[in-house]
Amino acid sequence: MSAAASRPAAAEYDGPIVDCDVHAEPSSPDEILPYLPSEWSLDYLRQAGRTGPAKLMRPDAAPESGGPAGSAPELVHTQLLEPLGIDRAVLSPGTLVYAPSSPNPYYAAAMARAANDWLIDRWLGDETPFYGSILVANHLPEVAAAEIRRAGQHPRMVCVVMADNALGHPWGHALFHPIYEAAAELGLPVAIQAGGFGGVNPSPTGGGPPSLDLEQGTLAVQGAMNALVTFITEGVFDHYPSLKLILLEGGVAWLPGLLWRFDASFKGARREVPWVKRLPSEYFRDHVRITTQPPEIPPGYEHIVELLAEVGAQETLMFASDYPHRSEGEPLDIAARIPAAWLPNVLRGNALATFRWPERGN
Amino acid sequence: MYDGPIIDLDVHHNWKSQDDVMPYLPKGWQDYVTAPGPTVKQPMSVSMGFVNPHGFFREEGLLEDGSFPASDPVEVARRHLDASRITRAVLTHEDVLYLDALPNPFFAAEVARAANDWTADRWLPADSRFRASILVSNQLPDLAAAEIRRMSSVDRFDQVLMASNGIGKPFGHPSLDPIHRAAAEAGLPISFHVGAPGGIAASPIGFGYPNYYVEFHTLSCQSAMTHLVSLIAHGVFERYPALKVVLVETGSAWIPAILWRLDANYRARPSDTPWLKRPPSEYFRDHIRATTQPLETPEGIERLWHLLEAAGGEDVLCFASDYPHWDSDPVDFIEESLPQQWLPKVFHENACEVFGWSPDELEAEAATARGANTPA
Repeated sequence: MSAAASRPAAAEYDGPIVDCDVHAEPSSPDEILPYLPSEWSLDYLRQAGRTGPAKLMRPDAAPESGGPAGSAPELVHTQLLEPLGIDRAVLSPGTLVYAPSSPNPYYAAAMARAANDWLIDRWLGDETPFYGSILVANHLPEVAAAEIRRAGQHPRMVCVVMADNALGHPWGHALFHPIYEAAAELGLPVAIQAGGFGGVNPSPTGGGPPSLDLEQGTLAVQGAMNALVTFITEGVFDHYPSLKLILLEGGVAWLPGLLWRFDASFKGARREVPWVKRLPSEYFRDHVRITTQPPEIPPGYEHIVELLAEVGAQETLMFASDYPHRSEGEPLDIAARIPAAWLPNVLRGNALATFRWPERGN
Repeated sequence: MYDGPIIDLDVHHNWKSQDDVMPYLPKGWQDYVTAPGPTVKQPMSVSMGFVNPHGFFREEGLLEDGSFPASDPVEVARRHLDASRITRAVLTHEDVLYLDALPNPFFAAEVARAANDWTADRWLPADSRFRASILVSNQLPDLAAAEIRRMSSVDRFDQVLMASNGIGKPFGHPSLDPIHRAAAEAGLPISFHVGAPGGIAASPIGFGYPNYYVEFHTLSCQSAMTHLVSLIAHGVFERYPALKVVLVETGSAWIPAILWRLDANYRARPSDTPWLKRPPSEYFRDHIRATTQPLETPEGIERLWHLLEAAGGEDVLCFASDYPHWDSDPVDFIEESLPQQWLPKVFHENACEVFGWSPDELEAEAATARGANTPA
């Protein structure tokens, strides 16, 4: 039986799929406590009691036995992996991914470490389809680099992930480079999850921080744009030529417009950044991977996909479901909106070439 | 070739030095400027700390005495309006434009008043094609509103203008309501020119200040994106149904993607913003216009057309040159870069609608100018 026997779309590609963005949640805060130094327990429990992302979640993804959406591996299997034919899912630690938004650098680092150890123990068994993301708090980049070198020893940790920006500078800034150096050293790509609202973060949007959910959800794209542009202008890929940047949940439809603009701005001001040797759009193709969730392009505007083709989408787009977050339509809707010829790359090939899979080693 | 009227929504007029505007400040604030001593003055403008290393101005804008480009009304009229067949030009300031970022909010409000009076006195009389902006500082919205009311009755002050973010909130936030209200009551559009880093301004890009000019130039569209979403999400256009907004110097290729995302998020949870009565993109089409510069230029310019069509295309764009900056878009370039059938709307009809100007009057002025330029 082909992996995709039961999936409705994507008839042109029936091989297995790699899902680059699945959120694994602890069943309860108690599940995290054994991994956290006891001095931080109260801080964590207080924070865990405050988080209430239920309205963002698929209502059917919470197990009947109790616990939040995304906390039961068997539901991930029956709701996501089996129906879509996914044989590899890259997990990030659910709402814990935002624990490093705490202004306290020591608590943030302890939480990141606890999230990594929990993810490894609870989800990343040898026979599972699950792979993990190393969460780091970037308040103290050297501490983050040490955590990458520690948690990166686990063969199923396949990338680094950050959602919050504690340094108050664009993502490519030299202050972050110890993190990227450690990731490059271990062959791990760095994923930036769009967002960065509240807590320790500076305004993640230009022109001031928004206040409504509608504004935040829409403007989260700016974090992805910021990482794409400043990794290139600040020379991250020149320092670490093997490094890949993955943009999560930042959408894709803005990409052609931004790259047109970026190349033009660079041509007009390149003397300022002499370490940037090629057009920004060329760095993008070689080093940046962008996930499909949310696809943004509404039905009727499929011709916009041609613009994505021009900037290299076939080699740079990677499928992500964002499970168990709710979104408009079905996770695989993207497959119907891009050319069939792209599907082997977008649904699998690009991800296989990007993450540090166990069989690739270091 | 397009030979109709051309309205330019972004012509940066400048002082030769801030001393030009000094006499328009009240005596007490003049003392504030000169008090630091004979060699140091309080600056009336804010530096962003970097410029394009290849130069910031088009060379042809430099004056013979070496003074700042676009600091002489007669020269601006000759070098730009005459040369580019501009029928009307909206003056948008230069050094003083970013006064929202001056640390002293009361001083910023006074500098805005002085800059407006200086423009009325020194620029508008020089050429009938000039139109002026009511420059305000957004740090203290009540003072900005008072300035809008003071200047709105002055002939040829046809829009409200803000650039940098001195209040730290996106421009749809209710703390700016006095500005929205005053503009709506005066029947004037609000022009949001791209803001700059520097002074006390909120960063024009996300995640802190940019380190390099190229980062600012590439990502400065983010502030326009934020303001667009903020104005719509906070229901500003429900409160002020006649209000129009123009986004200046922030490009346009980003607009379709942000509208798609905004509509999708609104559809997902309309109850979060119950004051909205329609999909967000409809407010955009009815109330917001974007200027052409800097026009994104993919290889194969028709790709840009296809993208912009998704956001209303010819109904949304208004021409702006950004004279005299290095990255300004000349009239000829826009003429070649957009579909011919878009040009009447982009060059004047859309702006006429925003400003309540008569297209017939513009046509007549353009015809007169064509006649004047025809060799006898």
